[in-house]
Amino acid sequence: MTDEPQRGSRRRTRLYAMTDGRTAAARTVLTMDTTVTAAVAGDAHESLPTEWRAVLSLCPPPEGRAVAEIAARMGMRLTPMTLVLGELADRGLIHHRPPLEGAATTNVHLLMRIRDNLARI
Amino acid sequence: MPGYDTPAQEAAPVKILIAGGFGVGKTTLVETVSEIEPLRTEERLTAAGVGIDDLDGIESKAATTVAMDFGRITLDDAGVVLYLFGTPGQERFWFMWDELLNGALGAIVLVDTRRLDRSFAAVDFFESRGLPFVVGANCFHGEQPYTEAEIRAALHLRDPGTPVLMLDARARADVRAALLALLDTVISQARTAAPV
Repeated sequence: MTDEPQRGSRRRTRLYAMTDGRTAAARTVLTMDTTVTAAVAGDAHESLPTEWRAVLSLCPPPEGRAVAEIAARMGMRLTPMTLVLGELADRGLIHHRPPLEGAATTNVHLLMRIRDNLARI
Repeated sequence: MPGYDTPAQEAAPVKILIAGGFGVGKTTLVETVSEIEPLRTEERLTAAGVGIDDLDGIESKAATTVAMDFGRITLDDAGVVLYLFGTPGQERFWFMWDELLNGALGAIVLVDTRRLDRSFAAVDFFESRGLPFVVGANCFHGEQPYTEAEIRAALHLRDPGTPVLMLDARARADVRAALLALLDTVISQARTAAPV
């Protein structure tokens, strides 16, 4: 899909506006399946950029949202979204939980619990 | 503001890939079991890596934009959130995209037996990367002219234990059965790797 101007009513926000002018990579590196949870309420900090507050309101605790889901709902591609979220993480505005590591995906006990739960969906 | 430790109550994200050729029903399958309307996310891939030209906006000739549709299933009792990612149809780009596979539990390779060749790339890719997968033969119009054995032979599956299921991507019970078969495969591999 290309950048169709008619897509939605919102304008595409320039990335430098969303990263507060920073173009260097954030210290926190997130992947598309990292779960992000707002550490502060999106509407509690009026000094924050509108887009940041929009991001925060998309991932309220306790459950949070995956980076890919936030990207999709913000209408951004993954890489720019991870940069913005990395910036928010660096500032302590979000928590993040990485996806299960290799060790966990071979944890038979956990896998059985996932299977049992899936059988009931 | 200091960083905080991750709160313990968050569910762990787990990724399952839904692969297969264009038009084989990946998004339909995701939609059938997802608790949200499938969402679309995009990524810009270049030969040199993922998304490196996103900041300056210069279009590179070797770059392409791939799109993935995905959904989620919250499994409260297991404390995980399953994300089902429909992989982009352009398999030749998967090799540039390590993040696609990293941390994935396994995959469902959807095949359309009228266009079986469209799913060869996905089968080869997961076999070469050692990611557990099951094959789901989508029965369009409720019909499947081929048997499981015929499909298995035509796909040249390396592991004779790889499950091949007949399914209707629109049927919740069928999709659930495919996910359970995948979990069984992952569990048996985990048991082999580390006997309890």
